[in-house]
Amino acid sequence: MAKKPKIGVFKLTGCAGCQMEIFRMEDEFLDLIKLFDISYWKMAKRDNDDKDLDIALIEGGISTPWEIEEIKCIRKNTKFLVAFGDCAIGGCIPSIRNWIPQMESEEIVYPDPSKICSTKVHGIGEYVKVDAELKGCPPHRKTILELLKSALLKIRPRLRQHPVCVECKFQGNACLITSNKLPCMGPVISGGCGAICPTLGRICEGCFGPMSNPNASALANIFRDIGLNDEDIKRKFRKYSGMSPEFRLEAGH
Amino acid sequence: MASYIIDKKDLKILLDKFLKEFKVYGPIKPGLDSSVDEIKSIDDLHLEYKSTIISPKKFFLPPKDTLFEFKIQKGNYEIKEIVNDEKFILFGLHPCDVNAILKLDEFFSGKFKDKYYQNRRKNSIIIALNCTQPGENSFCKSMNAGPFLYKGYDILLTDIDTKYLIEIGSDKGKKIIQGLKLNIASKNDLLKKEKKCKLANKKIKKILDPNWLPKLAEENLDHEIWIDLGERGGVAGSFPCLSCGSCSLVCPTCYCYDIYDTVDLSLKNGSRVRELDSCQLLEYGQVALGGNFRKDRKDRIRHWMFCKFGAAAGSKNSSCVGCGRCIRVCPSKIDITKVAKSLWRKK
Amino acid sequence: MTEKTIKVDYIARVEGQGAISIDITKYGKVENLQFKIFEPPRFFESFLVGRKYDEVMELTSRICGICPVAHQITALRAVENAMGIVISNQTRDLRKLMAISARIFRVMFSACIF
Ligand code: SF4
Ligand code: SF4
Ligand code: SF4
Repeated sequence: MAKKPKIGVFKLTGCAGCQMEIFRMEDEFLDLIKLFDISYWKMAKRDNDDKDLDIALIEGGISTPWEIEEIKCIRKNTKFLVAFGDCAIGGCIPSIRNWIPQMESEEIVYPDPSKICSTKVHGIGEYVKVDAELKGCPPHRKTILELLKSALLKIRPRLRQHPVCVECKFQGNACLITSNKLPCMGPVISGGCGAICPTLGRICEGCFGPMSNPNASALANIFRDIGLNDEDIKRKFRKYSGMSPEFRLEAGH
Repeated sequence: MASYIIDKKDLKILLDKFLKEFKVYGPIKPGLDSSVDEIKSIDDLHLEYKSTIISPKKFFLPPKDTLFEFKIQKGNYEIKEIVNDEKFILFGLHPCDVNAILKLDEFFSGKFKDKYYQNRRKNSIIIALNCTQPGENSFCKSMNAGPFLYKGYDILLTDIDTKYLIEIGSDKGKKIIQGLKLNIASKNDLLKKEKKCKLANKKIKKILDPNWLPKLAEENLDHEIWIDLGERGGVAGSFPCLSCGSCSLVCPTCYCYDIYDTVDLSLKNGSRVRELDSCQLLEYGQVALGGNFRKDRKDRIRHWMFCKFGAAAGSKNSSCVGCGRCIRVCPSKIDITKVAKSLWRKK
Repeated sequence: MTEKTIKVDYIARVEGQGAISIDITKYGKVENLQFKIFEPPRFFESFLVGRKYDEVMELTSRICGICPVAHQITALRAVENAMGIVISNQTRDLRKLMAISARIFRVMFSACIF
């Protein structure tokens, strides 16, 4: 067999949940580590080498000056850079604070803000070229596997960004919007989760970020029609992907 | 062929006989949000349903279907086909859905025979139930697909108050009720059916003229209604389309699918999968090197409606059976009949 | 006098974003202990202001991807306390079960991987 591809897993401003999703692949984990040379993964091993990586999975957004340096350095050392999860794509939930003045945020949390160094949070694509995105908070293990296998086979991964509604219909669910007048985000949110929430009777909250070509303004109008006010709507779009260009207007830019 | 009757309370006898020999699928909930699923006893069956969320096409064209498995060994490959040989009964299908299956039959047995579809179809027995309570969104009458059925069934049931009228439509149907002691239907029973049919017809409020539908489509390619539907304020009280794909996924006559391969971590064993697709989705029209035939939402919704109107792929007949599912499921309240009427008016 | 120094540059259990350094004397006395967290701040306390009560559990579960359940249950209790909601015994038991399961998972996970 040819030399095993070198892979690195990095964490920036995030919660480690995306990395955990790799660990949670109980059935595949052992096979997976046989296929790759895990060169860098602080959460999993002591000796780490970030040179000449074939693939880098980046978890987390950028919110400090040294993270900008770090991501540029990783980019330089990596052939294929993956934004691994919503934080790396657009800042995810921590990006809600981008609408609050930085000083205000810091003063609420820290008695002495001079001790910390933080900026507004952005996806890594703001600073470096990204080769692929794995959507989700966290991404579904199936999509992680699909990406890694495709990388080994050197083919394009099948990562469709159709709406959650597609998977919701595959599950045979009644629609929560039309049947229950509930504000489900499904029609603008990328699938990949298998519509777990609607299948359990909960509305989609949007954790996979915008689908391909979403019609966010139409959904906002539907929400208004079922009784949400403008503040409610803003909150819904300003959650996992308020920074995305697709949701910009509805999130209140 | 002869017609019989059975007391409603004796339906159990009929069902029990079927259950002994076949897997039986039927409506499992009353009302609009029912689904056709496995029936294990008469208690599971809810024949008073109005419509199902997902159409029975799922039995012939499952949302996700493994077609074959493959193995690569020392430069050679081995293929194992996945054949589904289960014989099953679809119990209590409404006329629109049976007519939809007949339309699917046409598509999957054209120039290219789809053996996965045909195999399932061969193994199926259809016991239809005439629809006496059409829903508010039904326009099956206009599309010549209901509320009563005249072809495509193996057995047809009609609710005539305390009894069901049983009509046989095929040899398959004849065979499966062999051995049951059933009373022959009287003239009066048949008259009752006709009365029921008239009543059901009266309940249908949505009316369309199907003959001008394909033409309507052909002539209105550049109509501004598509911009309204795609990007602006919607049409006839609707919101603009979300491209959520729900309408086509629940439609009993939408057959489009995507095919792809998956491999396991050995990178040597895998399978070929067929998955239901929808022309409302951006990915549907995507081709190599980033091209896309229907990048704009207005083009996608237009295409879907044209297909339903009957103008897609040079066809002259509407592929819609008027079941009303797409109207009910659309979060944007887009109603295909209202769009058709608006086009007609704005001509 | 320091006889031994234990130094961990990245504590895996806080996702590699913390370090610890301990100086120990010959007699086993800890002379100097430094615990550093260099995880960037995410300001949950600030952006939760103005959100709706039913979102708090969902948002706070993203504090930590290893132990989301602890944050969820704590958030639920905080909201319930604020609103004066008393939960049933059954709900409390179910939450306990969930919290314990999450802890078992976490311990198993740490034992197996690290
Ligand atoms: S419940 Fe949500 S995800 Fe499911 S079809 Fe309705 S809007 Fe789409
Ligand atoms: S287009 Fe709508 S009404 Fe017509 S068959 Fe399909 S789902 Fe039913
Ligand atoms: S269900 Fe409605 S919103 Fe969704 S794709 Fe169909 S027409 Fe558009």
